[in-house]
Amino acid sequence: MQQSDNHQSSAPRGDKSSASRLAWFDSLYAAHHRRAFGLALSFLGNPRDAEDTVQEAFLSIWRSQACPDPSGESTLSWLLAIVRNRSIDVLRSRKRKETYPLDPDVDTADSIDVPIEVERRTAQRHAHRILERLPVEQRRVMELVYFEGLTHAEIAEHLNLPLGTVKSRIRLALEHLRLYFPAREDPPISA
Amino acid sequence: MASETARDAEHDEERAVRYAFGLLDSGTRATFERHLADCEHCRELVQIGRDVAARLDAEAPAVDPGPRLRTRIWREIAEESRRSGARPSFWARFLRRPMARQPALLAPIAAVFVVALTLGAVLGRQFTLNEALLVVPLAGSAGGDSHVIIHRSGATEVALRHVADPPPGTVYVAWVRAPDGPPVSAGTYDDGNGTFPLAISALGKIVEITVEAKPGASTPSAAPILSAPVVP
Repeated sequence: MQQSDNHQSSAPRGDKSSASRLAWFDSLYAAHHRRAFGLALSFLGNPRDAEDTVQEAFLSIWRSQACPDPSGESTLSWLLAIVRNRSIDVLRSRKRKETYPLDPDVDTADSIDVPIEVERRTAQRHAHRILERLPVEQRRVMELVYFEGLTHAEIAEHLNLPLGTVKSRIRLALEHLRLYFPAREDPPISA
Repeated sequence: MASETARDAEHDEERAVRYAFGLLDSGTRATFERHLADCEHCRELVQIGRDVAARLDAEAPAVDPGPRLRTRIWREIAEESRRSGARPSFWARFLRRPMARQPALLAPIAAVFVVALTLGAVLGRQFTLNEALLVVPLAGSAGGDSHVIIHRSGATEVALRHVADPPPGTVYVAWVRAPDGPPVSAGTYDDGNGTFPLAISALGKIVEITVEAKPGASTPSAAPILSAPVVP
């Protein structure tokens, strides 16, 4: 899965000594680790998995050699996108284990960790509160994009809808949500 | 997830959404970025999607994970730096420059080169001694991805990975025992993630990790949570 490293293209690479890069990384961690951990926890509901995910996210940034402004809003967005996508990877991995248990004697229903799932859904309330502003049919598709990372085809199959309907609902949901949020001063998208 | 590179143009809007949410694989991403350069419609959709994704992410509450996470990350960076033999990028850039552009530096460089050769011989020997000869996985109820590592120098280490820290008031103790002999304490650790030395050579013996109430126990008080026969 893409780790949202588009940010790297605009960041200086390898231009800092090891010591100054460590200081930069320390600032990055100090500025954003609580937000990163909170997001991972909201997806995974399990502090240990959330720790692993945030650790891998920060290490991927360290390995990328990128050095954006550590306290910048766009840097936070970049980090959180990495955390979100790694969290989705972990969720998919969990689902594969639930769907295809290695031991055929294992009861699939028993292998689902109900407390974790409940905790996860509770922690996701922050995003659900926003998505609840959408009409129910748009909300459902956006939940599957944001929380599950499903493709349009997977959503169509999951909700038993035509592909074109899924596409138009996602488009409408995005435009609806953008109107709900106050304007941001993001840099323009470039290829 | 299957690669999406074969999708035709009619699905660009889907790719725009997945690109914005960071969900495309790298091959599809590169293809789509070329498309983005010429498609204002998709650029606009990507901008909207990124904006929404970032806003939803930012709604998550800030939660303090405690100091352990920072320790884990810094330890991993230190280990990676040690493994890669990282050096300042200044030297990498400097050495790429043509020497003809800096003749005044040739003499000092030659001197440095001689010193480096000598140092390299010493470090090379050290590197050789550090080479892992045998890596044996530790198995048991603690899970994780831990190993016993024997280096060419004879030094032996226990590398604990993704093992829970010992409960408060307890420590992990490593024991080395011959197949028919008593266990001998070879190290005490208070962390479930890290690389720790074993005080006793373990080749041909069995390494076991137990949870003990205090360091200095002379015999294990519980069944091992991890163990491995250290044989090639």
